[in-house]
Amino acid sequence: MSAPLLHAADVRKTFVVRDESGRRDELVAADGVSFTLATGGSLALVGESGSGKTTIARIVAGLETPSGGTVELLGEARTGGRVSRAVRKRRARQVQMVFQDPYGSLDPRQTVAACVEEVLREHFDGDRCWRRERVASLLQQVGLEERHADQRPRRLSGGQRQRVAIARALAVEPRLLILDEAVSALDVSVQAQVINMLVELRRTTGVAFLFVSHDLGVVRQVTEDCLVMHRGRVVEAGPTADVLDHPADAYTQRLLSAIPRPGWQPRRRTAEVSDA
Amino acid sequence: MTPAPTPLLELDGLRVDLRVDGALRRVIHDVSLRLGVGEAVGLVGESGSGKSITARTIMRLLPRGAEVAGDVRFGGRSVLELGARDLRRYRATDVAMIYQDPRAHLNPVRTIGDFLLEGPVHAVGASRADATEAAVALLRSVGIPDAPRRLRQYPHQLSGGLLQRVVIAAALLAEPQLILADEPTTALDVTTQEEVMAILDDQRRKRGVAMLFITHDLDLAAAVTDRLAVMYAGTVAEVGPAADLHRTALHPYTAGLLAARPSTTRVERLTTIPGRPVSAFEVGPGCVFASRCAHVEDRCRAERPALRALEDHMVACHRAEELRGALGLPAAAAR
Repeated sequence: MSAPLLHAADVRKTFVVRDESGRRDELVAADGVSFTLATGGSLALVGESGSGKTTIARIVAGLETPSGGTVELLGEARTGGRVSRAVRKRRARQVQMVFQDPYGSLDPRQTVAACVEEVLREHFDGDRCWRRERVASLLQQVGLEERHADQRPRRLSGGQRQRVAIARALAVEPRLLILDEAVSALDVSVQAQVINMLVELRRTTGVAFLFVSHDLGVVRQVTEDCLVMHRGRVVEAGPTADVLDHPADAYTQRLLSAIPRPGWQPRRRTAEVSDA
Repeated sequence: MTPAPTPLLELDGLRVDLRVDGALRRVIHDVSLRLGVGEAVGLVGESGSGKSITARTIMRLLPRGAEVAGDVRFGGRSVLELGARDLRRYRATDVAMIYQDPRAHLNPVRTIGDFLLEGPVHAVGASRADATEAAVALLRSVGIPDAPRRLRQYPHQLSGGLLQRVVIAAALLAEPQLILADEPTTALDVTTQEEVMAILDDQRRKRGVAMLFITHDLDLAAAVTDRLAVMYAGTVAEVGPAADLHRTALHPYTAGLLAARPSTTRVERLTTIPGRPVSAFEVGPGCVFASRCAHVEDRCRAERPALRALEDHMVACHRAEELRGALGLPAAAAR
């Protein structure tokens, strides 16, 4: 087996918060989180709000510094804090992130082509002609048409914007793509198109996915392995198919049973409070 | 057959134009729907389908300059013709609305108690003591035990799930005949959604309150309603029984929506609907779904199909009969 692409060991992240009376308090966003992602693999971080899944993704992306534990990418430890521009640039070539909101993550004044080309200019030596060809092939790869190249985000639908964000991330040919709820804001008919595109993309490019999502149906389609998180801790981990077909942890079971599906009825867990 | 009782809510050939940059823009083409007393209907659609505008039209909460044709009748009376006084009474006591994001609809500088008691005390004229007692009882029935303390708290001190239960309690407090719930759980986690939906469903049934449940989640709507109306581009594409629409869908759009849902039990290349959801003003003279439909014919592009009865469904598709059984619906209920 080749060396893992990404390895996290005992990662912990705390934030300082103030409680209602103004006292300093520590909020543990993630604690004891360990996992390994193989080259070209796909790992889901699954959980509800406050589970710590996005915190872990942001640590891997270098947007947060872990309070404890280590994150190794391609055998190199990701140290937190300020780093030189050269290091930042090198890291950008390794890891890219796509965010949930395609309305907030694109520059409204930039055309689709300019947005992708800017990244190419920053990271590669090729001339204009090379860049133009590369932009065209990237847009094609994410399922956008030629006519979209000259449009600004305002003219694009949510699904198209998210494709642009993915094309921009792929421009540097990263080893790892972090997708943070990247299809959650899309309508179901459009979401299905983007899911199919992502599956195809990983097969053809070999880029690995760290896929943050609360949606177990999407996770099933896109990832091979998954990590179920609850209140900052990993409660269950394993191949996605095993975890979803035979959930061992009570929280995973609860999460699965809460998903609406044909024949499903919502069940109430808190009782009606009778007069005390 | 017993004669159908007078419906509680009737939408009759509803058409809505909103004013955008001075020009009128069609947002609802033709919506007709009936809700019986105590009945729950799900209004399901993607963004831009017109489902929220339909709810706002029912409440007469459309922006200035909007033009409405057709009729909205509540208990046989036209809502569109209500005078200011009757309209206030209608909004305060007949219909209650639950929105997607409770935090955006509760005044952050007023307490939960202020919010809950405003309706009963100011609109209905109950005494503050009576209203408080009723509010505490209701908070308990939606699973909030320490109700007196909660009444003194501010919205930011409550979680999203708790806050939405407060909103449900406020909606029930007015003893309305109809609840309009517009994506009430979309902002919530899935486990919290289950809890909030169970409470809303349970309390609504116990009190015999009718509900129009607006959502993009077909399975969620099916679980808490009797019938589903699927909307696309400002039009009702299909109405059918909630319990088995996932097997009996007759409209290609309904079938497409069902097939596009990612399964938690199988891995497959998802069946997609090409293109993106279009808005009402973008559609041509034919069927609103024609530009994305796999079964489109010349007739579909030229002539808009009317909503008509077929078996126990209503469907707006020229080819509904011939396409029956050819829409690629899953054979079993498994997802």
